[in-house]
Amino acid sequence: MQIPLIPIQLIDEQPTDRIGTKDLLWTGSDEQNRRYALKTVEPNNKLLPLTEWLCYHLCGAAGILTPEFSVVTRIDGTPAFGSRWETEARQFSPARISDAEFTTWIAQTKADISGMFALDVFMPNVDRHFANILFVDTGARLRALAFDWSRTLLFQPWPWPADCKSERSWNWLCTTGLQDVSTAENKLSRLREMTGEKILQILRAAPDFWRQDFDIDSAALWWDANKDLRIEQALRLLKP
Amino acid sequence: MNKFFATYGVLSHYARPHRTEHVHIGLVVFMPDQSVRVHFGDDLKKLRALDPTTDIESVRSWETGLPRLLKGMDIEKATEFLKNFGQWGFSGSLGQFVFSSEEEYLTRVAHALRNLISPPEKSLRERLEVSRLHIDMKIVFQSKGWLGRDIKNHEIVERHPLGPMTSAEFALQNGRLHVIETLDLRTSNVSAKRLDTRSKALTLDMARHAAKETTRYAVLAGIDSPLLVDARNLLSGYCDQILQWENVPQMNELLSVLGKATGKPGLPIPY
Repeated sequence: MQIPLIPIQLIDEQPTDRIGTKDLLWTGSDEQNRRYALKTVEPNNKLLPLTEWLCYHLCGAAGILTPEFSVVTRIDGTPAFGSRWETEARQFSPARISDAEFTTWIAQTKADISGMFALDVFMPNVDRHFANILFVDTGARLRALAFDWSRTLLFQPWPWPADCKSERSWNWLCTTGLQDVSTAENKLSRLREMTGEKILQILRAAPDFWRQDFDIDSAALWWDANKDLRIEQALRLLKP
Repeated sequence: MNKFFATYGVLSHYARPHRTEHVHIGLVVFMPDQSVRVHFGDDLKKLRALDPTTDIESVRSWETGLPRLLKGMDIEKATEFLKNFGQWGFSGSLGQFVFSSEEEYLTRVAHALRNLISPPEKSLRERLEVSRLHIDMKIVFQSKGWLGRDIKNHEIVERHPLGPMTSAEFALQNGRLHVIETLDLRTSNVSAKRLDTRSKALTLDMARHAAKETTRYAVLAGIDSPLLVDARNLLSGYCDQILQWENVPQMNELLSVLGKATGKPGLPIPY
């Protein structure tokens, strides 16, 4: 697991249009004109960047696709979580994409999407909906990238509430036969290989500013003691 | 889940001995169970351009021939053998990929072929221009639970016979016969698409006589196609509704009509 040591300095920041985006407040660009979606420590969600940091790393460990990401230094010097803006990516919007066309995107990427639901159910993330997925044409095939764990809890409480967006989306996949439980199972089994020590390593690599209100040692202990049971429970929840 | 490692190299064709001009044509993959698999690129046009005397079919026959020839050789020996195999050469250093299932193996091979063998794609736009509207519609009908084999059971059936030498791409019987034909104009092959359009017009015309009451739909994809206006003009004389794949209200309306006709409206996409 490679954890970048040097934060990327932003040279430009733009507030996002709050309409339609609940949790993304800023975007920023670095000296190479690479654009990032920023997650910052917010008064009502102090763990926002730390949660994104952990989930992106868990995705990397489990083979769940995400945009590239990095610690970025904002213009005011504070560290933020930066997820690279995928300029070529497509996103679902009912106003622009018909149900029929979107269904074909899902059908082509059902393994990727089921993989991301594996982590969502594990954490849990209550807000996985179909606009929270990026579709990228890699040439060989369409791939789906997960992003945005703003509404994700760090392990507790669990499970996701009934009828939350994640559950409704997963149920829709199961109803349409566009779920791939074996891929989800595979991703969870890769999470099982992660140790508490590795979780600690990831969390320690996050800037201090992000984890002032979080006990990373307890999180690592929880991981070692509970991940196996959580994986079993998660699988039961995913199976239609 | 078990992880397997496959080692692979690139096969190249040299048109003339002792000359450096060559073209990469395929992959030789050494499997963890000591077997060998050979995969050629889908498009070997470059090979024909470099060496017009080459018979593509006989090249492809080595997909089965080479593994037989290499049977029993270890990787080192097989690599040496392939380096001077007639007009073919083999890469000096080998690559490796990890896979855990046959599906994943084929995906890795597809990526390797695309990166190492296929000619570079010119643009994203051209890559998207693949005629697959029929497949897309089928995926949609399947996901809604509408596709079946029994037209009398309010199921959408594929290739429903309408008359001599004519069948509907998709048909649904619900009192009236609904016939759906697709025309994918997202292609650069204009002349083939002209023929295709005429053939769809004939099918839709035949559909009119296939039942007392019919509703005939033509679904067109390729909003930027230079053929779109002509195709619409021709098909409008033979069908009741022309729907554009890229038009959200039109396609949602079609799915709504079909949902009612099948009696299975399905869940809306949660958003």
